[in-house]
Amino acid sequence: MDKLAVELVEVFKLFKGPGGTDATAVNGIHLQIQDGEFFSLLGPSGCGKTTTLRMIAGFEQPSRGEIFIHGQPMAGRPPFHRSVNTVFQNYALFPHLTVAQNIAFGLEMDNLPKAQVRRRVGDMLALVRLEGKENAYPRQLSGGQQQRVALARALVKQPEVLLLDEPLGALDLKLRKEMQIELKHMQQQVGITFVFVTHDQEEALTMSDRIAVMHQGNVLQVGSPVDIYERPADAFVAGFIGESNFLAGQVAERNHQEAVVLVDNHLPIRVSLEDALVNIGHAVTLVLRPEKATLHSPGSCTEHCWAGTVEETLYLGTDTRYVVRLTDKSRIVVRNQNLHASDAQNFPPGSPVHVGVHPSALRILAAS
Amino acid sequence: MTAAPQLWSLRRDRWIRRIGQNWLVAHAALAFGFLYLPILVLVVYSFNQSRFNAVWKGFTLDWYISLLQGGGSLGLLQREGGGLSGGGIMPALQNSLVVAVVATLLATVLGTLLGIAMERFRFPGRPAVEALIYLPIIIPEITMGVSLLVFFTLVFRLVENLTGWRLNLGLPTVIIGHVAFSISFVAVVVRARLVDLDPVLEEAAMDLGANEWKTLWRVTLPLLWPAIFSGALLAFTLSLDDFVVTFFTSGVGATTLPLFVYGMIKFSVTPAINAISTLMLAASLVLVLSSLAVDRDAVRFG
Ligand SMILES: Nc1ncnc2c1ncn2[C@@H]1O[C@H](COP(=O)(O)OP(=O)(O)OP(=O)(O)O)[C@@H](O)[C@H]1O
Ligand SMILES: [Mg+2]
Repeated sequence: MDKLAVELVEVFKLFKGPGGTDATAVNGIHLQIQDGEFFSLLGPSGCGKTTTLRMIAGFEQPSRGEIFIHGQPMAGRPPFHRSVNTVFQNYALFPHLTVAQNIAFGLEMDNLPKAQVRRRVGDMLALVRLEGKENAYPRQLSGGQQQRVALARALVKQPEVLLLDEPLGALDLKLRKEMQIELKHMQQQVGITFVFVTHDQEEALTMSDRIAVMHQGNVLQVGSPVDIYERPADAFVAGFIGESNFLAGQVAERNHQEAVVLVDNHLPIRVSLEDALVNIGHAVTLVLRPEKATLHSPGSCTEHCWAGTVEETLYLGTDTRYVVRLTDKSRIVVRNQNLHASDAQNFPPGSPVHVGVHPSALRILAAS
Repeated sequence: MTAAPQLWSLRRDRWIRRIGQNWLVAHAALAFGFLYLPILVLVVYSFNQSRFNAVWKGFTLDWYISLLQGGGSLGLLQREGGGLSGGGIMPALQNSLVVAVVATLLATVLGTLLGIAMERFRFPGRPAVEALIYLPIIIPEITMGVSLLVFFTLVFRLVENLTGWRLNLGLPTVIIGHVAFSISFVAVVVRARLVDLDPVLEEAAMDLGANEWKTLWRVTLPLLWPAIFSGALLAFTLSLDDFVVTFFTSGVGATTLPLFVYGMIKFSVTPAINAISTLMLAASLVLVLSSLAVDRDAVRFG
């Protein structure tokens, strides 16, 4: 028994661009999505997320490569013969049908008996908490309610895989947060594989079991939210997911756990190697998350320290974001938690400070 | 010494603007007058007691009543109608309705399919078909009429040579002629609506298990229904009013209402003609207005 819900093997998608030139929307990607997983495709606008999803749904055919759903090859199979359902970005509810008719549509296409259709539509209305709205038309619903109808309409078919294309994109921030929790909860309840497209990194981090980060038609990294955030595979991932400082340097020494890196114009710094493949003499980039560096008044810094001056202080409530200009003129962003009410006033702009960095706080990347 | 000329030019500007405005109003009034005065006169004189259009003798409904009675009390009507087809006004009205209903049904089905094909399917030669679809709308009606006549004559001769059957012009050829020009109007109206229809709705239907046929039936057509209906009303109105194409494609005995009216006019213009025309105007207005209303309702869906 194959445990993969969806598998993409070297899938390409080329579109005919203006003037007959081919534009590559998806550039030979491999994906293996486990059964029951909440899997996100994350990437900036135009990176090929929707195209990938549409190929899984069957609205586009791959130019090259193969797609399998539960081990079945999908080549040439139309959307209506695939055991996947889609929640569209702008919901695509049928405007001429009521909420109940929208939800029943997919079941009627399967020619299920009327009584069964009615029962399952009722169950779905309860699941998405829309009882009492069954006779409303989509235009009479709020954005959040429409979103839930779209979800119910797809889920009622009990698909093996549910595809969601930025399903929360049209909602305001508060509703969006609520629906994130609700959606995650629902996925655990029904146990269906979710393939979730988003360009919101925070959304992907909070909801997903695993994330594929896409950029210009390529999959740059696949991993758990912790993997992606703590061990970004390259500078793009590090920059796209959360905020990062990038420091160029060169490997001076290494053993199998640690390397000593000469960061330009600074003292050598010790870095945990983890999975990085670097050797002595290699040019590397160090990634430093702002919240993993600490600010100290000069003299009180006990770790590896860089001297500098605070240029900018931004109070963010739970933490404060500092821009520090180091003695070599490079800038570094530091975010420290406000543990005490007075913390925010500790380092006003102009203060001389030391930035403390622990070896484990740095991620080493082979320079591209 | 600088204030006075300024004042003067200000006053002059105001005058020019006022003249301009008045001129615009007058212009609009004239245009509307040209358009609607004749129609107004026609409607008013359809209630005139006098046999002659020039003099107003008082209000009457006699002409309408005589129409309802098949023109019986107006010897004129029957003779004039007879000049063309040997029937009275009622057979002409019946012909018109038969032609309009059948032509509308055919044109609506064919035009809708054509509109959908134009917008949703890619096929070889599509640009050519796309240009052709507008042709019946833009070419002069008389060209359409003549070419249909030539076409029918050719076909009839071919059929006679092959099978020995003699075919003649009649209601069927009128219907074919009306279908030929109405298809384009229906297709254009349907297509305009389809352009606004997000194809993602059709994708959603397929995603939920509907094949192409069910998608068309359950999603595309219901959403197009207002446009189809308004296209059908348009086709019906065009067919009911059509003179030129009908003139060329109708044989003996296939007199429609417009042909009948034309036949009457050749002898003399009586208020009975005014009454018929007023009724036709009213019918057309009702049809066009309801077609607009249906289209406006459709906006709620989009
Ligand atoms: N039907 C099409 N024809 C031509 N080019 C297309 C087509 N669909 C997508 N593309 C191109 O493919 C690339 C990827 O598009 P895609 O819609 O997959 O991006 P996306 O990651 O979903 O972006 P967004 O976050 O903005 O939705 C884009 O450069 C786009 O212009
Ligand atoms: Mg997209």
